[in-house]
Amino acid sequence: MANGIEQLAWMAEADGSISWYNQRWYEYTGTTLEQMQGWGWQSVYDPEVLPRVLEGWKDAIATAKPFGMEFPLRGADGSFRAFLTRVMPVKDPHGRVVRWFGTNTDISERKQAEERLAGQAEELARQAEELARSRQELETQTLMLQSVLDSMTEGLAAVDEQGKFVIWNVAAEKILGMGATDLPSPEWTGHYGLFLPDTVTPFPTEQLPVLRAIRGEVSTTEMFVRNHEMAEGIWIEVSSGPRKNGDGVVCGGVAAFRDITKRKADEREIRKLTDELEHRVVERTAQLETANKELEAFSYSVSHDLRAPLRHIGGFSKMLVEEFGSTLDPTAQHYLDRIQSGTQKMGMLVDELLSLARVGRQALNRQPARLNAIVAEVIAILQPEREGRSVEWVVADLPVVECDPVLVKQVFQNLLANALKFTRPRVGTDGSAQAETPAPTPCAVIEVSHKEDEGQLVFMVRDNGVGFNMKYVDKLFGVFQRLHRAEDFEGTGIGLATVQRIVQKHGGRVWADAELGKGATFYFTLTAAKQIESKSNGATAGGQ
Amino acid sequence: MNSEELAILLVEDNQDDMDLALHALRRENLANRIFVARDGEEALDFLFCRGTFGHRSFDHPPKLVLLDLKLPKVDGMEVLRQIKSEARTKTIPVVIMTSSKEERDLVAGYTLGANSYIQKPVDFDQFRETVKNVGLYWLVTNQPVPTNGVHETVARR
Repeated sequence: MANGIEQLAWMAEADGSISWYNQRWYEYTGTTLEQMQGWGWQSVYDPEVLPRVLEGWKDAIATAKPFGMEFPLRGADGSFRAFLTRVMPVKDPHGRVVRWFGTNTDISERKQAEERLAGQAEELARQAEELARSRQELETQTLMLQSVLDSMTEGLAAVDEQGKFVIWNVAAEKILGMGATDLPSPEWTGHYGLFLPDTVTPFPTEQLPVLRAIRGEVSTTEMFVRNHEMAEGIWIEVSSGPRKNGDGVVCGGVAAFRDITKRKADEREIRKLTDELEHRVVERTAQLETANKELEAFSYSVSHDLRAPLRHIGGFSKMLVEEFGSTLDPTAQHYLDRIQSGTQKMGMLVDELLSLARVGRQALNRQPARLNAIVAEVIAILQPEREGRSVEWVVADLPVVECDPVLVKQVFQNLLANALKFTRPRVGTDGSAQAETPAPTPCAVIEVSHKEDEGQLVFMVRDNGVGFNMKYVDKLFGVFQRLHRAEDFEGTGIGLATVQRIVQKHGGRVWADAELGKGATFYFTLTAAKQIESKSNGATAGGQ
Repeated sequence: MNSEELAILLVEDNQDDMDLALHALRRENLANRIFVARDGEEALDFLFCRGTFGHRSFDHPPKLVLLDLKLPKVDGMEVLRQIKSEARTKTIPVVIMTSSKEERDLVAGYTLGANSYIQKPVDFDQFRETVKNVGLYWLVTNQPVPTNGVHETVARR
């Protein structure tokens, strides 16, 4: 019977030595009874599991208890298959083991199935774990995105390609006063209260930045927002652009917007201030023009009204001298002379003041002018003033320069007249009785020249006259400022002020260098300096 | 030259200037044929033989007008404009003699047809010299337009 069963079967004596195997055993293991008898069966066991098998089997024999175990057995082809081994004791009526009956059931198919199943379960668990992990990652990222979105001060709204809002951050809600809406896009303008910059025309739906973004357009737009959730309307600036998927296909739009109400207010304020400033400039200009006109009228009346009485004083005192001079005593005649010279001085003063005022008022008439021609003309005009004197003029080749020739002539006239005046003590030694004087004085030398200093033409008028103390150079160009006593050198103290006014009007500078008893040099330019800093030899009469 | 013939019309409101000018002209023996108008209106009435000068004839115009600019009633520029825009008077030489050397006055004076523009010098010697030169130039050196010529021109109008 045992030979007929599918399992391997065997019988052992009470001590465990095997006495019988069924046919299946021999078939499977490819062994003989001789090889297997007693404890010979161990040869078909995996040496790895054999000790465990022996231990269990011996324990069963000692305790007379059934024994069961799974382990592989080597087949005839040398490969192992899994078997379930069950051993039952056969006992006599006294309960003593008389023999053992064992079976080995091939369970390798089941085992494989079990293993496959276990593998599948493991794979499933692994996948589940991975899923959980990526879900956690996603959650972390979502949280991060959320906190980023929430911490933004810019409002951020994103829509999918159907125009459904997928992002609407905290700032968006704060700025617009409302959350994302489910309304269709044509109702957004009304819902959120969006207007064109004129603040009254509702914002056209098709121009809404986020909808333009879905169409693939990038835009920056200013709009005015006023809805029932806000106390006052606000201005926002919206930057928007399309949202693309991994393949670069537009799958929605994103719009970022910020409240620019403050900026708009600032801009308005700036514009208002600018307007005010412009208005004030216009006003001031008008005032200035009025003042100029008044000054003009004043100059005119000075010209007319002051000169006339002067002429009368001069005229009648002259007539007095001429017609009644012989009957007047010398003191009276002397007084009349004083009146005459006073009148002349005042006439000069009035004329020079007028010319100074005229320089300030007249527009510059720039044109190319030959300076040598101007200087020659001035020297000719000054001819009467050097009557009876020996004066050496040294005029270098001067360039043609862009300037107002009438005014520049006035500059040279003042400077050359000054040079002539302050060289008066230089009488020279030539051809006179003074030839025998032990220390001959040089004659007056007046030089006109120019040089180039840092790309700028500098004109110079140098004399070997009495000069002046550089201590007083600051006073040199002030109106009515004089560095000499009237008895020594006559003058009104207006000439150099006029020179400075003319030079400054040309954008230039005038300065002087002098040494007491040796002479003076006046320098001037007729163009603005190219450099901010410019070296000068003497004190500068800077513009104020 | 009969007594009707006048050499100079001096238009001057200021007594002092008038006296000084007359003094200067007298020295050159020109003062005996001078008429002085004290304002612009009187000057125009005189030249156009109207008002108190209705008895005057256009046949005897002055040979020279010395014209101040600042004048009562009608100012010097207006007097000049009227002289130079009327055929019967436009050939009379007009010399502006004024204290002003303002550019706009110079430009306006010449534009309106002034024959000369002189700023009265403050210095009396210069003033006298200037008055003398002006008088001699316009009354002696300069050849005036023939009297007949003026009449013919007027007649043909």
